[in-house]
Amino acid sequence: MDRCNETQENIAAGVALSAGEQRHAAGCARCAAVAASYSLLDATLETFAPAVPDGFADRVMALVAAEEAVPGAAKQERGGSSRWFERRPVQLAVAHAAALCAVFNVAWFVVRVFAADVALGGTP
Amino acid sequence: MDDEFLVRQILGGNREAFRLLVLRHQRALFRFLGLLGFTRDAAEDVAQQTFLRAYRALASFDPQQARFGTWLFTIAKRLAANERQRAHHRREQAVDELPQTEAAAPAIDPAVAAERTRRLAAAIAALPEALRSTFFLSQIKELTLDEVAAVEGCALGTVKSRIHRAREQLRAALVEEES
Repeated sequence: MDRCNETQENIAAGVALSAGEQRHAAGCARCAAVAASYSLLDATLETFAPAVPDGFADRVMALVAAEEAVPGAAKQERGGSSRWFERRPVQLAVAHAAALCAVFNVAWFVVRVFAADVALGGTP
Repeated sequence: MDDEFLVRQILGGNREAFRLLVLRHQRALFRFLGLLGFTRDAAEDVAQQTFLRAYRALASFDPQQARFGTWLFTIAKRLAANERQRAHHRREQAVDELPQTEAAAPAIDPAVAAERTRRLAAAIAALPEALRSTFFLSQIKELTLDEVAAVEGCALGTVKSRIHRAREQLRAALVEEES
């Protein structure tokens, strides 16, 4: 019975069994049942681990590079908060470029309309 | 090439050495976050912030005090706790929902596997925070029990006791409903 207690304690604690305990567990129905139930737990827990997303290390290195490109950026963190514009430097750059294009297009349109208006009858 | 050597390389100006540290620890970190109940996207956010925070604070890392892995998981644990709190306040479902599982073990009825996962997720959510964190830090096999004790800020005996209690509660939740 002491052997059962010792073996089951170690199984429950997730401690590797000694050779003697393994032999005992293999021949003892009660210990084998306990070992099986913990094996089921360990196997089910295995399914909880999400795979590391592709390119994760690249994204971390991009963040590190972006951080170094902006002096003092490291001091901007507050209590672990992560604002989207800190984490998405590429998207932010694209958004800036798109906004610039839009402003340029509007200005170009206004200039052209104004120029056409002058050419077609702006003169008295 | 150990972690401390890579840290010295980074501090000496070799930024690419940090990539090796990321590659070396990313799997264990995702495993830890997944066990804590973070979805894949939420886990990626926390993992990114963990590595970024580690990079920023690398100069303060003291290898005499702890291994790099211990230090990294101390950061991860704190950020994960913050994120869980924020998610709770926002009443979002970023955490505590069913994790995205990888392919179930072969020869198991998918419905049975899904039901086990659901029951275990519920049992994990019901674990007290201290038990959950200690148990999962031990479960990822990245840290020794002494290092888990250092991350948790408690005695080795407490770590062993928490692991034992957590495993027993989770096992009971799985087995009782199946029998």
